[in-house]
Amino acid sequence: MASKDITSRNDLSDMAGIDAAVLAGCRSSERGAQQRLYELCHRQVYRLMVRMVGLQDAADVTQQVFLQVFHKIAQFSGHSKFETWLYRLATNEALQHLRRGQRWKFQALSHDPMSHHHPKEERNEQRELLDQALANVEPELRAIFVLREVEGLSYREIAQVIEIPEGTVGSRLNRARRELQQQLTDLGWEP
Amino acid sequence: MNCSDVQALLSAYHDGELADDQRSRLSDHLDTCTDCAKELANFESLSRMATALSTPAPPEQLWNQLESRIERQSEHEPPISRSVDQSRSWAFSALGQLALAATVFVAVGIAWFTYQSWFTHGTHDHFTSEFGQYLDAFRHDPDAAQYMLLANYENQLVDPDQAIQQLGYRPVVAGGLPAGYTLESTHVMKMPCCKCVQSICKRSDGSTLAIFEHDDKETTNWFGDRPEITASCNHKQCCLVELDDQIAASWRHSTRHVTLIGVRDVAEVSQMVAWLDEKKRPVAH
Repeated sequence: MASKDITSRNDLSDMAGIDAAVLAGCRSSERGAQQRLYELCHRQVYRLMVRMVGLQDAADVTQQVFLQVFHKIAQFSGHSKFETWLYRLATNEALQHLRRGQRWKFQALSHDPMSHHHPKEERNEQRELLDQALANVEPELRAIFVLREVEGLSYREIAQVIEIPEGTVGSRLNRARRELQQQLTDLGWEP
Repeated sequence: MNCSDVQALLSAYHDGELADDQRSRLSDHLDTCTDCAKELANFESLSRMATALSTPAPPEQLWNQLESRIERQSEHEPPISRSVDQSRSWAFSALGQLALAATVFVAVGIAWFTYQSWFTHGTHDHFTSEFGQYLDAFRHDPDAAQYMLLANYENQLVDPDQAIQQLGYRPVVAGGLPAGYTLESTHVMKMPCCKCVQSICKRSDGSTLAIFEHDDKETTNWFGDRPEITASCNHKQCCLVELDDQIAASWRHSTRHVTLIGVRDVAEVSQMVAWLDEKKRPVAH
């Protein structure tokens, strides 16, 4: 792929730059503040969307998330971390997008099960395979897996984003991992 | 710890979310059980694969596109106020003041009528439509339906034993569920029709039953135009709505209404009615 790749989690610290002045500016619909907020967190939102809705729709849903953020910013009370609030909006938007389009399986299952691995291509193949398997996992479980494994959220943060008790996060992750494992095995994956 | 205990906690172990003593007991089991150790190794492989995932950078023109959409949205918003000069010159003429008073009177009347009409019909129609979507989604994917509900309505995750502070009454799930059901979560929700408490319960096979409860004074029709039948379940008049292979059921319980979504059959409704009636009965001494 020609475009530059961003790696997971490296840009999480960007969100630390979101301060009270940026949020206040966004509440007043100041374009400069909105652009600053976007610059500080659009990579995380886009990355989440690529995993949740697929590359094709990721940019569109990312825009939709920021429209929601700017529209609802007055509702952000500051009692939780802004990241948590943002992830909650983004996850809900992704799930609603999938529900609206019934595109829960955004990639066709066209990949033939692998019969062998070539050592040099193994790493890339595994990435593609994981993306493909993840697309076939039910969206709510996909969200919880991505929030944990790609975004690196703790159980407490995931509970706040998904709005479930913290004690339930582990059992949902168990389900997500087992379903993903099953999907990978169906695609020919051997751990 | 047996295999079943370990399997239930395996993700929490893998993610470093267990307390030291639990972690230690789980480690002891993993040292001797090849099946559980293999499952953990699979989780570790998945994590390695996920860590290696890369994402293309967002398109460079994304902000410009977003800014255009923000501008298009703000163009469609109504102007906040007209110019000060225009309003001042109009308001200071005597005729203008009379006309203004008459206009305000008529406008308030129209607004009140419209509000009443919208509030009683429009809001409720909108709500029954949204709740209808929830019912449809629930049949296929209760988790997705729950996300939809939580996204649409202001809510708070609560401990059912302490929800009395928010509700003014103890939810029916406080103090436990019938055998074969476990409580997953309880939310207090502000819906357009009423403030209610909703509990998500899991059967032993993992399927979901949702229990809503709201104050009897706040009457509402949650099922819109769906055909309803009234049936006697364990000697209680219940309103039942068929949703493909499931049932929604609603009945009066003390001073409140209880509504179940995702019920399997009338026998399960009767069982829940009996359970609640039993809870209500004072304990004999």
